[in-house]
Amino acid sequence: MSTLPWQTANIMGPKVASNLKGEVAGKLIQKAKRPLLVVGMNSVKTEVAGRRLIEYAIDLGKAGVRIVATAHMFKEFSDRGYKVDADMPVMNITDRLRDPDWKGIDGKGAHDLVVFLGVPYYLESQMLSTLKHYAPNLTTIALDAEFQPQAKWSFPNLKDKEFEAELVGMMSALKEKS
Amino acid sequence: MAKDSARLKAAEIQSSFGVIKGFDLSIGKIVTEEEAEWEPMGPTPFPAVETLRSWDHKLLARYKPFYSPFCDMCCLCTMGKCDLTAGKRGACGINIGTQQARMVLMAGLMGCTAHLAHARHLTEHLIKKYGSEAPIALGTEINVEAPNVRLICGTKPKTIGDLEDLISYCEREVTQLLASTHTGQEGSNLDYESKLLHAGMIDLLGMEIADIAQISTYGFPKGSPDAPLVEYGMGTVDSTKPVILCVGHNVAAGVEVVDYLRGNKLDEKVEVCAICCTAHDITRYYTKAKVVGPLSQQLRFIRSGVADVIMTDEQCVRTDIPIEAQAVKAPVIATNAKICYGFPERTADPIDQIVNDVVTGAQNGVLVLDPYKAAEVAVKVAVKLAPKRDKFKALPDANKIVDIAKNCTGCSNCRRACPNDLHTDDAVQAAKKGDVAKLAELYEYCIGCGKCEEACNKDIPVLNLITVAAERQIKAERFKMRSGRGPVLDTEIRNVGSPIVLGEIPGIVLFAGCSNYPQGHSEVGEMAAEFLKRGFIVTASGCSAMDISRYKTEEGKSLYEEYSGDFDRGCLSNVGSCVANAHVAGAAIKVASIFARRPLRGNYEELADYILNRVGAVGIVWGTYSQKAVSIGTGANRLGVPVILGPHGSKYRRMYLGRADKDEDWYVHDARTGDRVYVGPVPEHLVYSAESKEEALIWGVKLCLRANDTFKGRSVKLSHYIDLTRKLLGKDYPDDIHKFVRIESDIPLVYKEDLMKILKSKGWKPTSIPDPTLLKRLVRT
Repeated sequence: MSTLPWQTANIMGPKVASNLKGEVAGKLIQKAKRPLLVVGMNSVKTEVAGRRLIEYAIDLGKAGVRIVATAHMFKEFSDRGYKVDADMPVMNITDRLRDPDWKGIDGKGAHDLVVFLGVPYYLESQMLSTLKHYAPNLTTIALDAEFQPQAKWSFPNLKDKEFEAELVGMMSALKEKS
Repeated sequence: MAKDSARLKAAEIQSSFGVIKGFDLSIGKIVTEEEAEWEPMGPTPFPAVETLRSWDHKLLARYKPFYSPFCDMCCLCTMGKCDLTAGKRGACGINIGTQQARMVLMAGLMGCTAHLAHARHLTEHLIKKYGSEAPIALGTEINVEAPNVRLICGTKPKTIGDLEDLISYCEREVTQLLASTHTGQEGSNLDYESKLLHAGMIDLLGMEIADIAQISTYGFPKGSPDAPLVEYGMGTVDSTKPVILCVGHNVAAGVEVVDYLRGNKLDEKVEVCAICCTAHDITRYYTKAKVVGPLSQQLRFIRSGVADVIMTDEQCVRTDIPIEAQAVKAPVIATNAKICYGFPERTADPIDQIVNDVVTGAQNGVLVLDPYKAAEVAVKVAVKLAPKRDKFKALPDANKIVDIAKNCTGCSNCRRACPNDLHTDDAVQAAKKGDVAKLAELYEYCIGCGKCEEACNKDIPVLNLITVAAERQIKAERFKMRSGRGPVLDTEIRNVGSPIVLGEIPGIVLFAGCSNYPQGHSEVGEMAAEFLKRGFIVTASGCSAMDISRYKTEEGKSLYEEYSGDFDRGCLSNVGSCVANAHVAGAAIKVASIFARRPLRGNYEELADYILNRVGAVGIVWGTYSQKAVSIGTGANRLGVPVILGPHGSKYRRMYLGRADKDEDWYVHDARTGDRVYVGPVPEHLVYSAESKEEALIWGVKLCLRANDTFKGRSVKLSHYIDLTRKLLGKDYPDDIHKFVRIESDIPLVYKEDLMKILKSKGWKPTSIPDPTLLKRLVRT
């Protein structure tokens, strides 16, 4: 499992994400008071053990994590019978997350943890970079199978079966307490 | 003009050679009374770096810079490298935001000076060729010949010679701007942004200068809606003839190649083709030339071995062309000092000597800075070499793909180097087993950068495998593109000015820029088709204008064949090369000047305010990659025109984002009453990166909303916004629709019942339609 950036030239600086295990991801999400999941267009393209990533996103949504759909993903969620909490461009949600005065998706308070899933790698990297510099207290998790050095926590570069195992581990950790 | 320049005016001078009336002398230039008084001079002719700063700060207060650092460090001085992560300051005191603004300014200046240097080189060449008195001649339907020049500088260029002073002004400004990027200069990110906005404005000026110079002298189409259709695609190049390939943006040498061929009756015997904006400009001069494609086709086409001679000029030219050309035994003639490649300079040498050295292989590349000489050398070399080369190519035979692929270890380094994360690893692994279909499928999405090959530990030529696997598709690439028409006619502006400003034409969409597409070459054409269907004015330039040709209607026509080339509702125009982008900004300026009769001369701030509040236009730069795109886009932004970048644009490090949820940011002055009026987030962003084509379509419509839309115009625009939201998001109505309804009449009739319920649930109250301005000084009460 490599923790070099997935796109190998994506080297930003001395502060690099910590390597994430699925179980740890589950616990981090569970402990968070106001977790948020940002889901991008690759969530319908990427398949993990026969399931699209968007279906794992819906699992997280059902476990209580609020979801923001980016790009045109609102329709993909809706076609699968799931209503997301909001939809907006990934730049819009990132712009709000970096604002210390923003009261969150539902107006009930700032988010303390945000998970990114399925946003194109380089675009996700740029958004994580914004949050690293401008929202240093926000915990960011990159949940795709490609290492994102700009996040606080990121899965390493994973092959299909490894990725499935980590996602399953994450969901188990989430369900344990609830 | 420098602030300390002298001007002498006299109503009458008695002299020994006669009485001179209406004498008006500026130091260095004699001006006539007519020139001095064509319009009263506005407040800011020839603005300096700080002149329009307050306008910039107004824009930046609403559209705050959003930084996504592409690197956490600064590496520019020897006290570094400095880690600027999360609030740390560097050795000079700079923080990450200011550093990003500084980096984007540097990128913008690279872009601005690329065009400016092009303008300088070309103008000097044209002055030598045609004389400094050669008129600026854009035909009888264009009276406002240089809207950017008039607006920014407050002058009207009449001759090619007049352009030199304007270029000098631009060069003065960029010198100041570049100086500000040195260590220990600007400490405010907002003022770096202001400087970048200034650079963008200068870029539009430089581009306009370059294009009106070449249109006037080379006889390019002068705003012709029916500019001829030309051929685009690798499949159009006739490789049975000697082939000369021109790569770059500056057409000086390319035009001489055409003239030499014509003069020696060789034009039917030699094929001229080109890549990138040189292709646009050669086909504006010579419609038999072939457009190979945008910059993404360079490597592929050179490796195909079809070109017998490669002529480079400037901008977006691969820096390894000599290596690639040598592999196919094609000589290179560099024709511009910006790209010398380490070649021996042969400008002063006899032509036959140069030809002999190149044909015998004594020299594989030569630098010939005289365009006439370079052209003659190119033709003579191509004619002599073509029979000997037998189209030697650096691509493997199709039956070798499987053997080559067998070396693949499945490490995925190729995929990890790919800007678009294409599954090259899976494709090569499949080819290993005999299935080349996946390789062929990648062709549509591959931007041709070759990073996959650089990353492969087994030296597998992945790009070549894709190209060979897709050979049939490539040979079938024959499209029709309308050649660059140049400016928008004043008569067209008179037709469309009112419906644009009142919102009845839903908007103007410019597809500009490069070919670093996120999801393949087809998307720009698909987006253009959607906007055309909806009655937008669609215009295009550069690489995007080429790739729009790839879209075919059900009848097999390109959009250029299907739609008229007018600048009008539901029409598609190609303005031309990168430098022709200035004409689209020029169109917005002309709307303000010709339709709305706003004073144009040296009156930048007022017209930018007008455009921001009234002219529903948006640029979509879907494959943006270059520094020029930064400066062009920022120039549009200063003028009040928003831009949507493709997702790779996020790597520019900086956006200008509005916050629709902050109502306090969306007030204007009503120039009639002086009241502060809420107008909603229109346009919501000045520049941002969209993630997908679907998102870009919806936001393209949304960013054409303007504060001054009439209720009828707003209703038309909202109907498109709602319709696209339904089609692409599966939602009945956009969540923010209530922000864009000012009065009940704004609501499209067919949605009235539903929307009134939504508005009621949001506590909506009607406002008014103001005469909007951000400038308090324009309030008339």
